[in-house]
Amino acid sequence: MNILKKIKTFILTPNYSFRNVLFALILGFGIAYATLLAMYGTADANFLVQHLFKQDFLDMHTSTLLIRKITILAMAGLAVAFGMKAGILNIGVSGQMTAGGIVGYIIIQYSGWMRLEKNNNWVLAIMFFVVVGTSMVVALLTGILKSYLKVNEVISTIMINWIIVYIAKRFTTNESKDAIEMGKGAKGFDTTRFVHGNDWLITGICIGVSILFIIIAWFYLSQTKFGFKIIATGMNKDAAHYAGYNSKLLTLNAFVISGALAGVAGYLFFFLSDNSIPAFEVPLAEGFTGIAVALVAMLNPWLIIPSSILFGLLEGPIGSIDAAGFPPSVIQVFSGVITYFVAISSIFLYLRPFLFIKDSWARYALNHKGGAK
Amino acid sequence: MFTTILGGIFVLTAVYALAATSGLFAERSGTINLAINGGMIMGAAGYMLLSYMLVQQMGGMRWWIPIVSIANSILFSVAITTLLAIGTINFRGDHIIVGTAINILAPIISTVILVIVSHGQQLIPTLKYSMITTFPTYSKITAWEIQMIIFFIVAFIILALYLLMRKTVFGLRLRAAGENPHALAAAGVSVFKIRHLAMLISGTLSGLAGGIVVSGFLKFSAYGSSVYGMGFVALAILILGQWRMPWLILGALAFSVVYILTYSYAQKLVENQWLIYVVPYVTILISLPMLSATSNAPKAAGQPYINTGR
Repeated sequence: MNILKKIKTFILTPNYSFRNVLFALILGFGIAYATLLAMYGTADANFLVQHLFKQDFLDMHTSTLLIRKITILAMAGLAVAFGMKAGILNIGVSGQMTAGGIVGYIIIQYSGWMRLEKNNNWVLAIMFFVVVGTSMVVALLTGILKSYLKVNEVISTIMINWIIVYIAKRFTTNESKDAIEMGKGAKGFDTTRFVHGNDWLITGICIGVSILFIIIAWFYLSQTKFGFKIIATGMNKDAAHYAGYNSKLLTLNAFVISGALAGVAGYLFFFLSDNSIPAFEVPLAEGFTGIAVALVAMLNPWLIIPSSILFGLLEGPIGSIDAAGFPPSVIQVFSGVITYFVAISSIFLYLRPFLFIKDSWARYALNHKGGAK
Repeated sequence: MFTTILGGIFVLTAVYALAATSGLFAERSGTINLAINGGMIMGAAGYMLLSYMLVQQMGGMRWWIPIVSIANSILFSVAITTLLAIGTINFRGDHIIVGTAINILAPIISTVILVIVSHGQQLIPTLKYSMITTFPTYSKITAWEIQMIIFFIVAFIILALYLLMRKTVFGLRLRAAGENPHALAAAGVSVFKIRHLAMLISGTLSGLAGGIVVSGFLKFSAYGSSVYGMGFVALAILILGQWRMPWLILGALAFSVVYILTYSYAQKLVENQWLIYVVPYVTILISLPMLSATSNAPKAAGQPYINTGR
């Protein structure tokens, strides 16, 4: 009885942001499905939707790839969520990821570690610090621009994203004489080159790393004084300033930590997943999906896990949908529409289905059975 | 060679001026339009969609097809900008977040449209459908002259918009909606209506910019649901221009000169050409902090107008 009452309050009271996000998910999914229906007809639309949720789990290799993609999205989402907690929107996640990955590749290229034999786990360990460090430096630049030079972080991060895209392109196109070797065949970095183990070991590392950082982010935000200060700055910068916090330094701090988390995402993307190196025509899509992941998770580090699983499922099967004869981008309709509705999920404050039914019933009763006139 | 550079500067100035003015109209009315890039992408998609279909239908290119397609690009862009307007003005969503969501949504919609219409092609060659290749086949006019004509038409449009903003009642109300919406409401004008009209103008302009990008600009040999971040650059130009239209046009001109010169220089290089492309973005990044101290942003930009306070 108690649980029923709780559920009833949950649906009726629009003050829960989770309720709004839930409605946004349902509506987004429905509209995306309707789009597919309009485009392809019932049979094909149903096929595509079924494909989302039973995508090749039987195949070991593809399911590990899916799990790795989910961990990348989780880290990107965590980076965005951490920034949003401090009142900054870190659109630069994709640039920070790319910067770390490319610097790591360049170091491997010029240090001759490419010619190392198998079982050299230490290279990957060093690369972790290189990638995260580079991403932190890029984020530090944005943070200085934001907090000391008053440049809006949205503009500066987008500019830095494009700068990094072109630098990355210079080091990966075949036209360059000193292009990165892995870039030449447009083939991904061979993770088995350094790790002694199979797909599942690498996937296990990915899961372990992402859960470790989720715990760290949660602990930092909710259990420490610094975390409290950061959240206070995000809620009201002026109030935090009057309370004696150095809000500029805190914003910078939050940006660097967000960049570090983006660096973890970049490490997972460039060194521990089997992706081919992207063509670098536009900034990495993972960074932007991270915004959606963070919004669905309502900026809670723990809810990042289900949220990233959702978006991983929605964006995972791009490769296999191609094999089924559909254009691969069709499936992205789901994540795009859902992102829009989650972004405006506050509109569902106005959505009160039970109140609406009750009101309509009362009006109906009034008109048909007499009553107060 | 010289005429190519000159034509490029003409058309790129037109594009950036239109896109930045689109942002100006939105922000002056109190809505931060981060979705200029999304609007441009949709405009480009609308242009490609209609011209592709008409060419298929007519069995070849006709002289009127680019003109009709530009109108369609406005339609597409207005559709997606209306999503932003409803989300922010009526439902009080966070302007930056909703704008980012639109920027994620627009390339996906555009890709889906292109894929379905063109049967699986994700890249459509633009030069076959653009103005600069169509019109020269019907008259003696050359490509760079068309780009110049585009520039002057756009200059005329922007002059008209400047007069609209500065010399009419509507312009005054629009600026008031961005500075002090409550005062405007007290004067008996609907803030929602003004803001929606401003977003309509904003969407029209960004759609026009997107249409011109794919139809008048030689760099775009193929359209694949991306305008290379031009909308964001326009937003930066808007900030550099301090929300003043003359400065904004000057910024657009300066930036397109820098862009075209670096681009034509980079074409000669083989290895480091991608590093040269960085120059325009670095220029913006360096010049932003210099002007940020004296920010003249509209005071109510990004804040939802809530009607119940009175």
